[in-house]
Amino acid sequence: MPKITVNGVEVDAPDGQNLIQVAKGMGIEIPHFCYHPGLGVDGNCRLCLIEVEGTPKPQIACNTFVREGLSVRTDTDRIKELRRAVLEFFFLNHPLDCPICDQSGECLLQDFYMRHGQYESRLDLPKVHKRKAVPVGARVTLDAERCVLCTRCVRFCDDVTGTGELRIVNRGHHSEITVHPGRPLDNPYSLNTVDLCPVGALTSSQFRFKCRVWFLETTRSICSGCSRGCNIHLEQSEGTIYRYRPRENQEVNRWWMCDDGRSSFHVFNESRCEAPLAGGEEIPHSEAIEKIIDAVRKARERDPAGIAMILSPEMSTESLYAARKFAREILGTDRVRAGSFAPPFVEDEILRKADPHPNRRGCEMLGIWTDDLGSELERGGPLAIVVQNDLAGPSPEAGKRLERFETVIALATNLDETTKRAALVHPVAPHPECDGTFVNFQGRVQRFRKAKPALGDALTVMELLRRIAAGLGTEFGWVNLNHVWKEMAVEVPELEGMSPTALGDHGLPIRSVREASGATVEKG
Amino acid sequence: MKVPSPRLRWYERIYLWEIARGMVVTMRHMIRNLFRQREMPTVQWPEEPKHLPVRIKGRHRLTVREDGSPKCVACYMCATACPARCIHIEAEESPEPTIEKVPKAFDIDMLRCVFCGYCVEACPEDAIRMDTGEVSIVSDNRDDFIFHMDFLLRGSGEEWKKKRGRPEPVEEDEDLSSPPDTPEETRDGYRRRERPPVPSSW
Ligand code: SF4
Ligand code: SF4
Ligand code: SF4
Ligand code: SF4
Ligand code: FES
Repeated sequence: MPKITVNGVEVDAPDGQNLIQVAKGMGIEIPHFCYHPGLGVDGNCRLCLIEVEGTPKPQIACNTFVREGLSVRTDTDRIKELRRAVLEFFFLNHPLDCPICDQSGECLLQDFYMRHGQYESRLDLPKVHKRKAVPVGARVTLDAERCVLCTRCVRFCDDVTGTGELRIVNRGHHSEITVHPGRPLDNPYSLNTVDLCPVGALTSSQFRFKCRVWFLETTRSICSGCSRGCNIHLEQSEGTIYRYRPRENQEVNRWWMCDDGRSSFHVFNESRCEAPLAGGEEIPHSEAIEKIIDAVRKARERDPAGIAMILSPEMSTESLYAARKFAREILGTDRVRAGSFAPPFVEDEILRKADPHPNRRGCEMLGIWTDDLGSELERGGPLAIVVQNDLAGPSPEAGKRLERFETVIALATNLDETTKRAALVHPVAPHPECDGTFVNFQGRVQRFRKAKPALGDALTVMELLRRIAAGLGTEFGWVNLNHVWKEMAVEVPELEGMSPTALGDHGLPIRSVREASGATVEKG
Repeated sequence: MKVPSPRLRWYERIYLWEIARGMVVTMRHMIRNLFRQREMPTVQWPEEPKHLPVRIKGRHRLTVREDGSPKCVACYMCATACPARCIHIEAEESPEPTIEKVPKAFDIDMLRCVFCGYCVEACPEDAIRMDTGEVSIVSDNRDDFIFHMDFLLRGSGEEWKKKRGRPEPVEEDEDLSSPPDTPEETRDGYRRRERPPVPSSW
């Protein structure tokens, strides 16, 4: 690694990095708009100026790459003055809509003014006005006045999606972002332009005016829209989820996520199952647990092997493991199956995968996945416990087959067709409301964290099964994730040596995947 | 801040002397009030009106534009500044082309309001004021104390009691006599938001 000097401090900087990255690694902020690691260097905003030793004029940091002996300064008076001057140009015609601008609070223009600007406005001419609140696509709203013309959005549509909808038209002060007539910004990744936009020029129509960003609380989570399992920031306020934002993970989703994934959280806000139901009537939690225990006891006396436990690829790996153990040890059945009738998602080259479930690979890893859930239901039995799986919704036929079971207990997150058909329903917490992991299609175990407390009487699957088992006389010692992981890491060979802490923020591949990739490395 | 406590003399420490001194003050007031009742500072409110200074912070009102629509642009600055978290706003797109954002709902919970006036200070549009001079807000119904946008914009006097400007009838209070049969942990309300600790320099 070449040695370079930044503000008099000598560092080893990785080859190929530019000075914005190096400075960021050292905790030094170089204000910039147009550079983004996912889009490369464009060099149009001229805000990232630094002084390079041996060069008379200031240089742009985004296009200054690491080389042996390079010495730069980011903090001289000249640089500070230049930054202030460049910022003043950005603000010349800026509308200063901050109070009604959705970007306010996470706006780079605001941040840079506060940290590097702080000059007195000298403009006494009227500002140039442009189009405001224009829907440029089904999901994106444009405010041309707020744009700083960094072209991040243009380059995203050109280079990442290859759809090229956005362009800058006109010249000078009248330059503005626009779409070609009749070609709206409708690509399935269009909302990434909203994240990329450093100001409030492109905003999400769905999130528009819903909540001010400083009220949001952010949790590291995983999108459950498809089996890619994009890493996200889940943002909620007072129990309502408002948006997902992608979280960088070079192995999985890089900096992006798809638009469908971004609206997949509505299911966690709407038509939730909050209280236990018996025959459609709300009952108290303790009574529900007793009824479930009773039903299990009766079925177990008659035909334990006939009890079916139907799990779902929407469940966390921990819940799946807990449910498998519960079925084998408490119910005494081997009929633990996970499957789904949900229609496939759209697949493409960028991120989206046809499999609409976040944890199918986890089910396969535990040996409970079946492609033919229908015939499993066809067999019927004394009792079916359906966990987090709407069988009847996507497939009315499966709903009919459920009738072959004498009793159906649904542990559900939402009120759906299956809970309508179940004799007993107990609410369970979906993934934003518990800790856990999903295994994505690549075999990468990724951790999501609890973003908010479970709604109403809902319990995590793990906790609910623990209570039922306790009622039947067996104590599972699970209190939190780590307890289940201690068992899982021993009993599931694919997870050997892993722990929630070891997974970190970016996850780890399961053993077979790790070994396969290790083998290719050796061969290569 | 450190405040040194005064050193007490011996006769102050046995208290009897101080009690006697206190009684003298009390008796002096009693006797004066007995014989010169007209000068008593007590106001027989509400029978007798109390004249408040004109700049007193009364209940809020929302100011309007010339056409009668609210000046408020639903920026949430007041709700952000409010230490009691008693302002609830819902925003929507404005039908007017020159205005972008307007409030759909704007409620203030007067039971929680501490009349600090921060909301007025925070407002960039002079859309909320506390210049009504109305400080007597009394009702025997909790729901009355939630002032809705219509009343805040145009209401006067005691109209808030008549449930004016309320979007929908309010349901009966839920029965709190028997505790709900839910495990403790699930009732741990996420509605309760952690507030940052008050800086010690306050
Ligand atoms: S883009 Fe930033 S500076 Fe401009 S109005 Fe929005 S928040 Fe304010
Ligand atoms: S709309 Fe946003 S991302 Fe696009 S050029 Fe303008 S400021 Fe940059
Ligand atoms: S006066 Fe103070 S407490 Fe009352 S609404 Fe305004 S900011 Fe909140
Ligand atoms: S601060 Fe003023 S403009 Fe903003 S929401 Fe409150 S009352 Fe409306
Ligand atoms: S980031 Fe370097 S010129 Fe814009």
